[in-house]
Amino acid sequence: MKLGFFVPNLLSWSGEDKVIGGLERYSWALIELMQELGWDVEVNQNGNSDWKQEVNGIIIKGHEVARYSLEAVVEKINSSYGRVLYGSLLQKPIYYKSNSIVISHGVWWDGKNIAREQRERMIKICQEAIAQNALTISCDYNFLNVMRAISPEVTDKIRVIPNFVNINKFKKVERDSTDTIKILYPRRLDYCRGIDIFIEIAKDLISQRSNLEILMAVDKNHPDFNQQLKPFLSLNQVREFNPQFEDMPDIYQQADIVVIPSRYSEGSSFSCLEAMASGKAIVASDVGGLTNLIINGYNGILVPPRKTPITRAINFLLDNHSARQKLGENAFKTARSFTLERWKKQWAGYLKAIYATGDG
Amino acid sequence: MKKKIGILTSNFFDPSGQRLIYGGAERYGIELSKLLLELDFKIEWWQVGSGWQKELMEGVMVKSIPITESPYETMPDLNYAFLEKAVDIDYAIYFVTFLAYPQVKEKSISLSHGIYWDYPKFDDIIGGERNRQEWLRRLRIALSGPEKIVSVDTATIQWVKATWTGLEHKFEYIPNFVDLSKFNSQGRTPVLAKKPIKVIYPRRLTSVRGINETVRTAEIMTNLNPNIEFHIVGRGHQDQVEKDLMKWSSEHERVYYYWKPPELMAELYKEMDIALIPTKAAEGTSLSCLEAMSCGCVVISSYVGGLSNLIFDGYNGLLIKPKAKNITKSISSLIGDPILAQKLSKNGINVAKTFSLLKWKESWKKLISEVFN
Repeated sequence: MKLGFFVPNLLSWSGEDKVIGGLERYSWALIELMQELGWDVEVNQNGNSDWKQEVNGIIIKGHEVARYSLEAVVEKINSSYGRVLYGSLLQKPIYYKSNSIVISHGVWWDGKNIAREQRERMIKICQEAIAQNALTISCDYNFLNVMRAISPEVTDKIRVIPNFVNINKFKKVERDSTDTIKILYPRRLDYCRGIDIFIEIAKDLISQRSNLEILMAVDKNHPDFNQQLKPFLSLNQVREFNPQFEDMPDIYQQADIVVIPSRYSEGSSFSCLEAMASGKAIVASDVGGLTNLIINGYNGILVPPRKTPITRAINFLLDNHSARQKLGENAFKTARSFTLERWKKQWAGYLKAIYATGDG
Repeated sequence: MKKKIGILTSNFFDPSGQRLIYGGAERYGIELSKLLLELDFKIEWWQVGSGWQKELMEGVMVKSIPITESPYETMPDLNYAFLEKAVDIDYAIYFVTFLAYPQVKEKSISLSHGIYWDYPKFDDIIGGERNRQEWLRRLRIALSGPEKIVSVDTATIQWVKATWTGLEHKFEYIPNFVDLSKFNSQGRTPVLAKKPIKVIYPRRLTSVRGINETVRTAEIMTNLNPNIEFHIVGRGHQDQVEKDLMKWSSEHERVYYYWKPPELMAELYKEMDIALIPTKAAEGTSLSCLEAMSCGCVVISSYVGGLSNLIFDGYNGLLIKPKAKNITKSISSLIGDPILAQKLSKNGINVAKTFSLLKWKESWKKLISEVFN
């Protein structure tokens, strides 16, 4: 059966490049699953012209009407397919086709830079999206609990499937013991990811300790920001990587400590799950879905996204080899309950329940 | 000279002063009192009542204020009377967040036991949109006053962050505790190793805690499986509820209803295989969940509120949507896979150690030294 899958930017607007991000990785995994289950999936997305591509045997259509409005793209898809799956909860008030699934990737409006009116509008949009769809699949329990506190009357239709990690790719490898302890920041160069907090902390640590190295696995999406960071990135104890996704397992393995200092807009972060599967000692912020992945003091350290508590946590780990070992070991063990197979099995159940019958 | 802390709560005892209410929050209050005494403070509790005074423990008085009005789910008159009457206190702890409305002692801490308004009926209780807005306005004032707010779970902090971004910086996440010296797995047999299989529901008999789903589950499962027992262990808010449940359990085989004081629960948990925490709303980091887990029961829990801070689905328990169908399915899957059940039990025992009373005390101690100085 034909199923239209809407993801705003699986490819770039021109259709030429794959976009690399958590939402896109999520979408590819789901597309793969839908194919395995025998659905004829077509991806639909924003475009700067009307185009059609085939990637990994999947038809992807770009829609030029996106230049005018997101709503218009969705309208077009709604009228072209019997059934539609919405790959992300859209930040506009739109009509969802009845008896559909929409995916929530976490609370995204919890940043200080988001004005009150904007925040209230986003909440309303969530309420409406949840009410319109047969199911909202959330990647964390946090979104569900926040919405429960706002509109418990709609949240009966939310189901949670935490994100996954491929434990065949991300493995625990004992690091050769060296005197140098390596701290990895594996996220986008983005204010919401707490990059500025991390850099401040890293600078201080470098000035105080000679036996540590900072590993920056960062993107090149923001040339200006990269330029601005140059002095930091060229410091002696800092190493920069601009990895492809395939390189990440190896980069995690080089690290002893992984820091995830997200400020806001966080779900059940792939980076955090990958660091867990790699058996690393993790310092994560107590934001969004990270609170559903880390139990403070068991499989990582959970602190508010501020300089003092994060510094304290990192220093504690730097001085405590056995704590790093213990937290890393438990992170490795807990990652085993977030496997890709588990994710697929849970998703398959909901896909069959909603899309296996009729045309809506 | 010793500094004095006044703690304002709504009901430690019931308003007549006759009966000690012994729920999670009250147990929290007793541990907190003990800690503050250890830290060499003088303490005094204040609550609703006709003016009676009672001793809670040695050297700790509970005094009452004859105020019962609670407009918009707040108690401004109680708040005001506390400030006026407890003139000799140096510091204040507001034991429930809304009690900090509208004014607080300058050096004060308040406490959130979790989101308690996350069920549709609350809309009716609060009485419509205008009242809701006023309630929220008051709640925000209550959160703005104290220097620090302790939250027992992250859900509350994240709701504040998603509602009044910035205000979350006042919060300190200190999850609830388990006393490992009492609640541990010493001397228990592995779960599901012998018949009959024992399932416990260690909660109060209220709708939000999932009593009705549990009753339904017990009926289905005891019919299906002659080797399973259900133990419903907890008080109701009204005598009638307890009577009804007693009658129901007497009419069903292998279903038992009783209650026990907290200090006798550990021994009971050690005899149980599976603990149900099917909360539908108003949940923090449940003491029952932590205690059952610490004693090695496999916990089948809902994901509501702080419960998703305690359990990773499939690692140290099962997290489900609290429906009878799902509970039944989960119990059956555990019975069908004792190896998995034993893994969940073992991991639960280890995870629970992270929530030790000792660690809880350390966190509170640190906070108190920062605020009360």
